[in-house]
Amino acid sequence: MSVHTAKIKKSEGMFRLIMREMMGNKAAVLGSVLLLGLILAAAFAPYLTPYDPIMDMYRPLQKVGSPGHLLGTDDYGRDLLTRMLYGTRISLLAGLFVVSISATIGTAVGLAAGYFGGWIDNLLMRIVDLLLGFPFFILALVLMALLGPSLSNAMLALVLVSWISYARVARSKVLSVREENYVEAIRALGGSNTRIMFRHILPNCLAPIVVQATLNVGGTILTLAGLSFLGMGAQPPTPEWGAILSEGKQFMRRAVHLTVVPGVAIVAVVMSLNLIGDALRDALDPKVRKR
Amino acid sequence: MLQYFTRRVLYLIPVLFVMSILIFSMVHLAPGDPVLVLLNSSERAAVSPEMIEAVTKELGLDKPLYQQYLVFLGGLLRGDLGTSYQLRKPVLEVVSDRIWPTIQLALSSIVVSLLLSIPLGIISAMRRGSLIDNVTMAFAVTGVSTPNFWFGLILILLFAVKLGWLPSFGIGYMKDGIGSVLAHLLLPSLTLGLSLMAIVTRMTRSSLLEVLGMDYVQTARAKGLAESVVLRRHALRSAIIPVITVVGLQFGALLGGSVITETIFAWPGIGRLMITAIQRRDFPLVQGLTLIFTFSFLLINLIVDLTYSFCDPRIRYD
Repeated sequence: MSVHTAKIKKSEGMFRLIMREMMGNKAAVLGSVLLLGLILAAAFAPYLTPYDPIMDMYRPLQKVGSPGHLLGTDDYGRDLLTRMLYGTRISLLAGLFVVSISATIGTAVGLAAGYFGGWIDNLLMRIVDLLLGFPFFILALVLMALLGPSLSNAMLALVLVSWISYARVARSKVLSVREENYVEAIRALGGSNTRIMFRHILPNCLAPIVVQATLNVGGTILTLAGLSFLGMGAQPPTPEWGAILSEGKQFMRRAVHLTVVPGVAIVAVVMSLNLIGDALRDALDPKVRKR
Repeated sequence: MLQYFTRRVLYLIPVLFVMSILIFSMVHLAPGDPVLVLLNSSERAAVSPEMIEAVTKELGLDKPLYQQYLVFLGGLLRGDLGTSYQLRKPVLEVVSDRIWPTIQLALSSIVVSLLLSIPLGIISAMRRGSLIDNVTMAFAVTGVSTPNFWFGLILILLFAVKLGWLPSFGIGYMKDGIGSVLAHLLLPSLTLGLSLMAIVTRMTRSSLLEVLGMDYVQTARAKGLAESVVLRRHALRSAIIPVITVVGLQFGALLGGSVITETIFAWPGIGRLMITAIQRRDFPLVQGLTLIFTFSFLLINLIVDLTYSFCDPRIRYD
């Protein structure tokens, strides 16, 4: 019982410490506010706009600020603001989905490799090394060629190439935690492998994985948009930002807003995530914290 | 050092072997029938069976998969990457026509971004907390968050469409003078180099800040050396090592970025070739290009590792 209370207290302290660090970091506060705004906009998209992102068509290529269309319309006459709002949903959800699945797979692999060691470690890490030998985006592209272009396939391809980095981070952390006295103690008390791995080692390895994951959400959103921009990801008329940009660039000379607006949205969401990720990393790093 | 070098180069052989199997199987598991693509048809029923048989045979697709791999591997060892389905030319020939523009673009984007980012990072570190430091860091954060495909379009919009100063697409040739070559290179290089620039600026700054706080730098200052000498002789040399690491690590991203940049600027390199090869289901070309991208990635990583041991005598591998 006493062991449990001690553990809970410690984790509360950690959480509070991180929150305090984050609140003191102007960039992190800015990022959080920005992200919160975007999440709310995505969640309440149907209440914020009267239009449908795909079906409703009005006068095409209306400029920014034209009546009824704050951000203008695209070449089919669809309201750009509406498409951007629904696009925020797609990008945020897809980014979170890819990162959480690949972080889970990678952590499981890293946990197994680090905990069991021996041939399991050897095998898993050789696979990881091999995959790291490929340039990330090229590997994703080849997988896209294999799977065929669509948003869900792009997400699958990214999961297949992204888990690798988590496996490495998790493994190196497991290797150090495994040697701690408390792990020895539980083993001596007869704790099973599963119990030791999931109840004791895993919670103590999570910090660097969470940082890595937070920093990766932005990158994943960028890569997904890049694949869609190349025609390998989300297909028109899906209101995905990369796809909107790819369609809009054909009208660059006549309708600048179709090129500018989606990019600004991508920068905003990715920047807010990066600012939060950076702050989280600093907050969890005792070396930086002391300064 | 020589021993280390030899071992690292020899290690590439099994890695490339396994990669060739991986790439081969990935590409050959792809859906979509190359025979039909070649015959310009969407249904097998629309073409005579004789035609299909002839093309299948010509492409060697009638053999079992492992035999196709052995043929591919045998060719690989002789420097033959197969024949492009679409262009009906040896893959190596197609690639060698298109690889120079890619190298040219990659090198110039590295040069442009390092020339801008390292001085910016140094100034930021020296004037920590100043306006210029804040502006530079804001630029760095924005830079990593900006998609290069969008940045490229904005550059085109600004410098080609609105101002008309620079060409919006294509490559320049020496016969039109060096001016044309550089003018065509500038926008694509900035596009491709954007994230590298942002990352290196940040890395230079934080790495230099760390080194500037070290005892030996304090000693150098204490003995009365001018700040510029302290910087050049003592601080920069060790501050640069993490920067090299980052440049090396970013090379993979640069290869991926070249696909996007070349597509935006209609640059005749292997990045854009990769996209057309994928769209046309040109197996041998996708395969060959993936191998070339992967090989250059491995090679650069090797060079980066060797550069370390050169810059930091403590890192001499056993």
